Amino acid sequence: MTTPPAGPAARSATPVLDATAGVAQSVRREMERTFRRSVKGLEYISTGDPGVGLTPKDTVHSRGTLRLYHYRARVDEVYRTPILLVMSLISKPYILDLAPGHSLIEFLLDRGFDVYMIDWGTPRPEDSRLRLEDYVLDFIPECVEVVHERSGEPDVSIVAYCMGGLLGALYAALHPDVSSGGRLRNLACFTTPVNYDGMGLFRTWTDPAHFDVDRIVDRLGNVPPQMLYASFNALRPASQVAGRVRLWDNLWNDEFVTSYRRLQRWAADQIPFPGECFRQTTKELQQQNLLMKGEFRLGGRLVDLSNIKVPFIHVVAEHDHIVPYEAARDLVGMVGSEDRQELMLKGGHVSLVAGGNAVRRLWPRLEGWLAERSV
Amino acid sequence: MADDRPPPQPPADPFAAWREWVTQSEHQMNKVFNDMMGTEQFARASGGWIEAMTMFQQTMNEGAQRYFQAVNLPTRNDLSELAERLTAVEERLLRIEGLLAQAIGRKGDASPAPRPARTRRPPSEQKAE
Repeated sequence: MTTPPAGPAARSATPVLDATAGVAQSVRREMERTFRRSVKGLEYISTGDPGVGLTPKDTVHSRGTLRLYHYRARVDEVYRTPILLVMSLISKPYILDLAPGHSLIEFLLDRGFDVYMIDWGTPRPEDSRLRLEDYVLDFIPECVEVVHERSGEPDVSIVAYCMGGLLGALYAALHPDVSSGGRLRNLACFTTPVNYDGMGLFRTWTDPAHFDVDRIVDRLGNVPPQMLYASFNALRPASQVAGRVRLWDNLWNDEFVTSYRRLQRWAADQIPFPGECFRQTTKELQQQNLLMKGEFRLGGRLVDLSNIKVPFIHVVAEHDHIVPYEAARDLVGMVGSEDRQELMLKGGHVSLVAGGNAVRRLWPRLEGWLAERSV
Repeated sequence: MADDRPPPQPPADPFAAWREWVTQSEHQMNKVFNDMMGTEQFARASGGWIEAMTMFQQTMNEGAQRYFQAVNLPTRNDLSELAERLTAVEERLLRIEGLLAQAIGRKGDASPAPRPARTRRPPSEQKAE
């Protein structure tokens, strides 16, 4: 049995004792973690990369490196309108399907959506001739038609991430929607840049006074992934080191380590950027900001984002260092939809769509938005 | 009598302070680097580096190409051309396959998987019912 301390002397000693006990407790905890770090560290070094992109799917269309996947349904009843995921050209699409329990695709399937995804694949040397016109006026419309044929439904919702959002918005602006005899029913974009004056360091680095995009493309064809990876890392140079420190600190924590490895694998798994497309985006978007000025043309047609009339949502991340809010915020004002909204969520460019932050914040909001508009 | 002691503080954790220091240092370092990399001098230097790197890469590619031609082996360009032709053949086959599937009435249903009903309603409507 313990007796509660009494009197001024005991009262003044208690905080000191509490603090000492607290420090002792945290030291003991760290000692235990250090032991577990040694064991887990060996596991970290000796095991391979965790599997990614495991949700069962069928390839229903292919063309060159492009693959259109149809994910197998996980419920008996789905919403009428299928979803087509349009991904970025410069990263692998499995960021939306990292692992069971950490997959936006699996989440959407479980919530009753019929999900398709365009995987652009890894561009080959001969793909260096591809331009935005090829993606927006040819590949996406073709995939939309395949979705229509397979699903038997007249319309489709496009959900697009990062540069995929740009492709989705350009497609939506240049094709009739479902009310005008087209296929598009809803458009959801995540972290999509439209005002390239807001692209921060990228804008400075690609200043035509110092950055000769013609020479790069003429000499290399496709832009090597190492160049893209280095430029993304350079945006937050200290974060690489801090990330390693945090990994060591959390080596005892299996969940943290697995999640870290999956995200690191994706971040390092960059793909080449098709050369002509890089030339076009660098000159016309990054350097001249033509889309924002209303002067951007694709295949001779002026791109007017106010032609987008379908329900529209743009989800942006509060701490996005790759597509800063200054580059993304104008999109919602440029589209012509009556039903439109911008949603800012906590997180960064990647944690917006993948990881614990996304599971809690983005995914349920996306489900709610799509469910109301997919019947 | 009122207790005039300060509210209890959480026990001191030197490791939590260290983690906080790591985060703060990361932010400060990133800011310092970003300020430095946002200058025209850095942009000029990085442009020069890219110029040198692409020049080196081009020289290497041309050298390798000449070597393979000299030893009578296919170059990367030869393989790319071959790949392009194979892709064209593949695409043509796929188109023929699609037309055949349509002709025999399998349009839009190549998957053996059962199709779920497309009748799901949003949760808000389910609650209202």
